[in-house]
Amino acid sequence: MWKARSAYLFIAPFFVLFAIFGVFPIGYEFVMSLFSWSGVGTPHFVGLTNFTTLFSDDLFWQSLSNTIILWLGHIFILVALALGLALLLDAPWLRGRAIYRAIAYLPNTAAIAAMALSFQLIFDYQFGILNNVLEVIGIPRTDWLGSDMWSKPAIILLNIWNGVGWYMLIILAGLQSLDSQLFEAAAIDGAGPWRRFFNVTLPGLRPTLFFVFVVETIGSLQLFTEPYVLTKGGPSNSSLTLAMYLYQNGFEYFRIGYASAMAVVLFVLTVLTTLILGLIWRGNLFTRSELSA
Amino acid sequence: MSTLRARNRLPRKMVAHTVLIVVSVAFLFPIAWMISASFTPSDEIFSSGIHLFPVHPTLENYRMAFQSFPLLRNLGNSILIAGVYTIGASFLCALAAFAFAKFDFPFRNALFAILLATMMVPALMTILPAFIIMSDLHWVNTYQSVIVPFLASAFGIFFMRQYMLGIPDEFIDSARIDGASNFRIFWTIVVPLCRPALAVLGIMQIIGQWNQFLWPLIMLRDSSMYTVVLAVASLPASNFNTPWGVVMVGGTVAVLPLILIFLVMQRGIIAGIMAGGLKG
Amino acid sequence: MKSPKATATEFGTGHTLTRRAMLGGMVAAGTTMSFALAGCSGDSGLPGGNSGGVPTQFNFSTWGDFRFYQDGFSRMQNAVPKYKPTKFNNQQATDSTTLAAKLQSGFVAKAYSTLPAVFEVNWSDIPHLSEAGILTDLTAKVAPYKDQVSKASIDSVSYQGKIMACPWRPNTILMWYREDIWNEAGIDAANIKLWSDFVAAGQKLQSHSFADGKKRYIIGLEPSAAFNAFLYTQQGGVLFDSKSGQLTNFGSDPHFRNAFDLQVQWAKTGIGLQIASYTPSWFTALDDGILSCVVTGSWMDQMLQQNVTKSAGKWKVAALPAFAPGDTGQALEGAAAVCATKLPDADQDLNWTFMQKSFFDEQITPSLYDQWHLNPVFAPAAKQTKYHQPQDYYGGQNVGALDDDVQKTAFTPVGSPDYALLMNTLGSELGTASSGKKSVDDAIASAYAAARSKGVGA
Repeated sequence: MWKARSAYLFIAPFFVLFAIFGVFPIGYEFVMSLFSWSGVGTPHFVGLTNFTTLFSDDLFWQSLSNTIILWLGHIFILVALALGLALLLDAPWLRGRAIYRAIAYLPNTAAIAAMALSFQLIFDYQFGILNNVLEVIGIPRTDWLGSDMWSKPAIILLNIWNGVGWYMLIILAGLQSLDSQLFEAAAIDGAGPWRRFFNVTLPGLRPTLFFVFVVETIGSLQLFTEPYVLTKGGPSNSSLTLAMYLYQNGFEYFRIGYASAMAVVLFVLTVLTTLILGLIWRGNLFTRSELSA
Repeated sequence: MSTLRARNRLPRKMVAHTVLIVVSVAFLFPIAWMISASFTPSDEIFSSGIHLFPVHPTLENYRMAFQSFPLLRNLGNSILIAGVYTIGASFLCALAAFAFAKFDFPFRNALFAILLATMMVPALMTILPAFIIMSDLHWVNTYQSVIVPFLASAFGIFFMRQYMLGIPDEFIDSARIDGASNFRIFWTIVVPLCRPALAVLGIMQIIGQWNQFLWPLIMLRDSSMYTVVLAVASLPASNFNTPWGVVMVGGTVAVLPLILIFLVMQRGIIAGIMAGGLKG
Repeated sequence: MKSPKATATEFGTGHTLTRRAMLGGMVAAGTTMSFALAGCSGDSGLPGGNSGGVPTQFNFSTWGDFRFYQDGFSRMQNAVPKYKPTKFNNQQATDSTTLAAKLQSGFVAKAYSTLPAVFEVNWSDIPHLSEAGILTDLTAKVAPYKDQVSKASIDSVSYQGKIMACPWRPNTILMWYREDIWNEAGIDAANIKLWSDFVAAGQKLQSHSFADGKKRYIIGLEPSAAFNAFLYTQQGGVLFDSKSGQLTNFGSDPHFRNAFDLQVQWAKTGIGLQIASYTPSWFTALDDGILSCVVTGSWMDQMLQQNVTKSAGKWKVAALPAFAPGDTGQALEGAAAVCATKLPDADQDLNWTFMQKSFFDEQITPSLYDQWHLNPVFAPAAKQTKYHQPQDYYGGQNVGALDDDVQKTAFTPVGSPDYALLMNTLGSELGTASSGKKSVDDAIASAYAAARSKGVGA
């Protein structure tokens, strides 16, 4: 390979920017979590008090459990749907694939903050189209935004509606890059479509699916916009996520030290989860071939 | 033989199409309904249940929306911010990706690992300290404040690197023999080869930046500097004055431009995905 | 072309230090730069775009309709010959909390040039912002107008005895009801003097079979239980001590128990309709009379007249029922308020002129208020807005006159920097008690304990 000097120059902008807008804020938050501060005046050093309060705060635990339930509740459905759609839209015998692909991706282009208004009306108990359609099918009307049981499914629905198209495209790209010779060889060996899927497609998609899983997990743990605009964390804090609780403490109650402690916890949680996912999925996080290709 | 195949295919095709049509309707309906509601008089929107087309279509909502709020200016802001960002970020991402993909330099693996790790930093964690930095730079309420922090896009680098790994080394080797500088190689050989991937990345970046909510919310101070998504979020906030028709107009204006861009560019995107076969 | 081997020796082990130095230097450079940037304290320019003491731009912020303030701005321009800012810079926020957050972050970062000179705020934010030293003391300026404004309105914008904002729109809590629906069910509003009467009326409404076969309700219950503090306030109850800002022991106050108990009752007796306010369903429910009554602030007037149009003429307004016979206390949930930012080099005279011309000046005509459906705090008898006249919408009732009357006996809550956090805690416990998971006593005790442990009002 080649001279390293220009390599460092090429990657420098990223790392400089990251140092300013990534490293400094992380350090700032770690430090601020040891203080109590309302934003103006001087911060008071309180040591680890913020953390002890945090771990005995019922609402913190609720927001954490909400976040995890939302994460697990939607990611499998999302990946399965994206995979299914990608497989369908990869089939050469299907006409109009390009149109379907475009339609599937369209929701991802719409800002959630803007679509939330439309969805508030769609999820409406009395007038919402969703309930109207469900009633026709025979499912009773549900109070999507007004009951603490259904607020999480409502957010999951919005999340999936918005995100599945993008992941479908990623998986589609992965599918396209699979070596067709492998499929031919399997077909010659007598493998039917299902066996081909499990023995050739899925293994081939492994890096893609891993990528999808990790990226979506990281995003799920930091979920903020959907609960903020659709349910405002309600009803009864049933859809309050960790990120939302962080925002409330930092920007509504002005407990900046406390919010910083929460930010630290969120960061550590994200890192740990990603590492664990990596260990589970791949044995170790980055194989040699991945890095030094 | 071929007719047998064709007949076997029919039920499979029908099932596939049915599923896809149902799914497509689910995808399209919320957007279509919002656009239709923007042409519906406010009191008709919720009083008559849900129709797809308004009984008494009107342009009154649009008139009110554009008169009361600087929506055109907001649209312009969004276009400027998203455009400048995409050009800048695409360039920087491709540059860094080229280094990670085709160069071997000390600490490369460690730096790449750090790069991936940067994706795990929560946005809410960085926003207050970043605001402090912005104010010291006198960048609050400027376009830079919502563009520059995002230029470090780990995802973009990762994405482009994946693609560039598939470029055969021979192309680059032959240019090296000709004595081209690294940057020249990057600009004249690698970038054209990456055009499909850059198109896909560009679209994702435009969309991501256009739809930013939290960061512009804190950084931008004048309603004339707001992006259109942020302006729309401001519309219904005061419950005291919420004509739903105007709110739907806001939503439409925020969402429609991206859809149009996407529809125009989708050939390029599809081509970009198809060309992913280059990796083989 | 260099051979790979040659490349390796360039950065051979002999240059280990160089490699490490480069990496370390890069990170250090970036970090140092950012620390240096953050460290430099701000003289971030003068506020309001001043150049040589003459402002060219007037910064204002609201989350409501700014056109009203634009009018005030042009009046200010006419009234202040010395300097005429040429631009009215509106920093519209998405809501009150976002506005407060933006303000706060501006002060955290000492970004004075981006802060509004004057801004609209929720009354409950005033203690917090006052304590942060952000607001200008307006006691002397507002003093001449004090006797033309209800005491409750002035109290709602006061902090530790000082007037920290201009009250301009009172949030008088009133009972808005559908006379026709109540008549059909045999309920006479004149007989609803106590909250127990109200609950009984709700039950009567519930059991009555209406001509169209629909069930009707007397109160709406939000999906997320929210504690209505005004029920406590109207009895003279106080959550925060007005002098010290400390949290009072509301847990041992029988008035608080009354208020808490009543709201649990609403939820448990089934007289309440589960519905979110300000949604299409809500407006339709009001129009159809499914929800036949709303107990809320005076802004309901605008809500009704703009969004609930089919039942115009059938609505009436009444004062709040009391908890005990003989209680006359009413409730004001504060007033919408506008403050001036206490910035270095700020022209406070200019700021005050703007506020004066917007809220107190004789030149503001009733038509201007009517245009934006506003009922001003300051409404001298000679200037009657539409709100202060018999209106067809209310079957000829003069809501404004009732409002003025109610304000005379109204108490206002005292806020504190932790008001929002306390309300959240109370709402959670109310939800717990309403769903039967805890008894009322336990819920109240929990709420108080939770608030103390979180340092509320400490």
